[in-house]
Amino acid sequence: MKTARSLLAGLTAALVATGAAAQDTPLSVDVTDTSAEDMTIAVPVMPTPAVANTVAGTTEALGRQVAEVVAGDLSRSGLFRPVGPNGVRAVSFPEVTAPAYDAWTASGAAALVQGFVRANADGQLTVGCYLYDVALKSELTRQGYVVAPRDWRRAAHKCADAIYARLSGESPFFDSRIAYIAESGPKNRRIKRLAIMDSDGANHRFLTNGQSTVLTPRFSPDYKQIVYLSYIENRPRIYVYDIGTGRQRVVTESANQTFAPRFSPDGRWILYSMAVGGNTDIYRISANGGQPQRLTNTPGIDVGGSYSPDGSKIVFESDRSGKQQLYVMDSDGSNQRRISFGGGSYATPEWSPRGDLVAFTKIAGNFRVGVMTPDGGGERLLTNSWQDEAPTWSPNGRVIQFFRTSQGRSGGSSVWQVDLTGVNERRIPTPLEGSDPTWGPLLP
Amino acid sequence: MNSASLKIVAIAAALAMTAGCGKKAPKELPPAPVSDGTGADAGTGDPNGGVGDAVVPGSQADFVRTVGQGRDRILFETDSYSVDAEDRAVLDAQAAWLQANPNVRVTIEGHADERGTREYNLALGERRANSAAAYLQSRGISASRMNVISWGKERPESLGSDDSAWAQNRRAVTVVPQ
Amino acid sequence: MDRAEATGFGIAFAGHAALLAVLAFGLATAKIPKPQADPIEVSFVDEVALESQSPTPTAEAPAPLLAEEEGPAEPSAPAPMPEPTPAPPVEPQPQPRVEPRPLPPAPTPTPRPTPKPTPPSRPVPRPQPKAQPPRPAQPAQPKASQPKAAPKAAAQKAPQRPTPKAGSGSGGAQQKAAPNARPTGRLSGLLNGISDRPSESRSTTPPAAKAGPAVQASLQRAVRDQLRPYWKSPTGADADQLRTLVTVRLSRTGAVLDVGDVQTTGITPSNRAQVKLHQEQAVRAVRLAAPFKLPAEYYDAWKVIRPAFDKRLSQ
Repeated sequence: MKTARSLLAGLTAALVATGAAAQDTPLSVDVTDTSAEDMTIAVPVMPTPAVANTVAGTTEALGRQVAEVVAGDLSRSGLFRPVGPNGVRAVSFPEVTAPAYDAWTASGAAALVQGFVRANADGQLTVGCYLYDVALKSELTRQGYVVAPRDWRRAAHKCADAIYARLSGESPFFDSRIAYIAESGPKNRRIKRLAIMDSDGANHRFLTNGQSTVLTPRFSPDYKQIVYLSYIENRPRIYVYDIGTGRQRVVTESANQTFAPRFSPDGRWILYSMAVGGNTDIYRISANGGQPQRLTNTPGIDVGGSYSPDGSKIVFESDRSGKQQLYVMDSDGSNQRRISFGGGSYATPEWSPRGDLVAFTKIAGNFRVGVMTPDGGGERLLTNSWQDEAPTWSPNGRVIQFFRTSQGRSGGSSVWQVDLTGVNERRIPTPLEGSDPTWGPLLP
Repeated sequence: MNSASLKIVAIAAALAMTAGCGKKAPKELPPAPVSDGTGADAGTGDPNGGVGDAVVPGSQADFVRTVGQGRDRILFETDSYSVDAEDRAVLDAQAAWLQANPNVRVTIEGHADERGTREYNLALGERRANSAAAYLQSRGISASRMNVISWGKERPESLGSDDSAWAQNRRAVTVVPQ
Repeated sequence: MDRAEATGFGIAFAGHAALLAVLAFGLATAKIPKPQADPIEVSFVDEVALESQSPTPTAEAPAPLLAEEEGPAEPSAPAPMPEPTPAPPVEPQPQPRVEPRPLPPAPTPTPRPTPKPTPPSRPVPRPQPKAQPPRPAQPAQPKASQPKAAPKAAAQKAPQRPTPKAGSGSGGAQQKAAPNARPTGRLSGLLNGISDRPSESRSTTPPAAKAGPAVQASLQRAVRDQLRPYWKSPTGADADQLRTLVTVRLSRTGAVLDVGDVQTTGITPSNRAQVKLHQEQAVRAVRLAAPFKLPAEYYDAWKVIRPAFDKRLSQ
């Protein structure tokens, strides 16, 4: 004991001697944030300089609605705890750019979103959006949007996007749309309709009437088209639906079943799977038609696929090893290699729009949604339910939607979302049951 | 009011769309026969095949009566598409009926249980239907008389979420279209 | 190594070598080591400081201050603050904020109407003065130099008995002070006998400013306690892997002179987008926490601090 002590003392002395040379050695301190609390953001009603009527209601009413949409978006992101517009103090129009910081400090809010809604002489609406750091008493960002009154929701989403981006460091994603399959009816005679909605579930529209079963939609990058699988005439084939005109066309004529369609990130290619004589492979075809090109050629089922954001690679699923696993290949089909090696099977890979991760469905007993890096590392499962399937990425690659099927005779499906940390799981409200969500890019 | 009018527009658009499709393919029967795809399975008699005991030869009802109840299909193990001895006996009976009704075309529907992902199951269903079709072909039935389609997990036969239900759902069903 | 250090090292080395020899010899002859009756209590500090309070045990005169000389009741310089316990400062900012309001009373924040009908909505950038960098108004606050800010908890822990690490045998202002000598409002026995006057030592090595490991640990705790209320890490995928270090130079009053050398480690493809925000938040925490309340007599030990900011997910 004594020996040890003296040794230590000697060591200390030695350290002291050598360390003395370094003047002004900084005092190192570890500061760790262990709080699980989300940042509180006050979102008061947005005032209007002058109450005016628009086709979407008065500017006064819109000021409240915009604040509601902003607060709803921020809440859904899972990162923040918005407070308001109900129950927080009202702000006057001049106060919008001169926040009453002390009042907000007292309210406990860390950040403050203020804004205004004004009707312009030309019938357009101007929505102002300001973000303040209450503790620093400084402005963090401001944005203004000029929109047609009926597009006021987009202005609100853009405001929420600006706040989210400023406070999270991530890219925005609220101003985007989702296509999915609306479901109704008994399990063995499900009626399935193509539907689209805003990222918060608003502006819901059915695009097909349910006479034919439809599955697995995907938006084109410009939101003008949706490619999907339809059983029209009992012939399962892929179609492109033009949202503007409501017209649709068959992507490729074939006696064989085509399915699992995807757009390339630049919209120039459509990837699809085709089953021929019990063997499914992946093909691509120009979005304008033409001659398809076969990308995989193995005896197993090669299906699905998802482009990397730069369009140079495709991650897809194959059971060539005996079980469904994930593979990556170049976009011309070369250099195929397996990336998933964990226990169980892997399916429905989707490359993040940010490129850093691939989301998938893991089948090991239950179906769970997870992510891994494109080289197969860092596997993480984000959900844990009976059957969670078919992830789709938010435009910024930080949130994942998927569909969850419940067990049993009455088992239905619903659309859910979860963020990349695996928390903040929540159901997306849809008028009917839903499946196969697909998240489009940020609206142009 | 806004969303209501939108809905009307959407429905109208959808109707217009299907109407257009109907025009394009007029030779096919009514546009909404989808729900009859597995119509034979209910075993409650056949709406088109005949009334009472009067079974029209070459109809779905005739097919089921000839090959035997429940023998319009073969079942598969999990993730499998192989045809075993029992399946072959079933398919032999189907082949015999097809030989006896040389003008009838059939659709072979492949299905999977719900414990697979949607798109993989579409491929798997096709594999199963193709297995049945390949065997029938080996028994002398022309490939041109058989149409193969996969429903994946979209049309379960049994609604439960248990092994016995799933076993019934992993199937390839031979259907005589009306 | 200057001469003093060399001397110090030599002495330490020689002394310990001798001690070792004696012990070894003694043990060798005694064969059976006497079981130590009372195990020594060891209090671990965060890290071993590179410098002890007095690296040169023999340097000239002893440090001029001793506990007896100065009591808390008669502080030499400014009057002591009444509060007995130095709670972490919540709002260090005095009210008069030097914030030039961008828009006086009638703001009418007009984002130019620019009614181009083409895209449905479009951000309208405003030619507004950027939110000015948060200048922590710091009118040299004399209070900041109050000794009372000394980390209390640390003081308690300041070893009574010499511990292996802290009590490396050398004298200094630190451990002599019997904390119970005078019941004062201060928890900080550590500060007994310490002046906040600039050292008048004639020693070539500053006697007291060299914070020993325990003092260092206390200072670290004090800085951490003052920063933590303001540190809010970004959240998101892999955000808990980010760690941002900033170097902050402080004035004697605890005000921030400058912040620099911002470095972030733990960057992954998933959290790359948050790096900038992480750094911004770290600097923000420093700005908001200032002025730091730290004992002036240890100024040399904290005139440069290098906090590392990170996040640990609970659970």
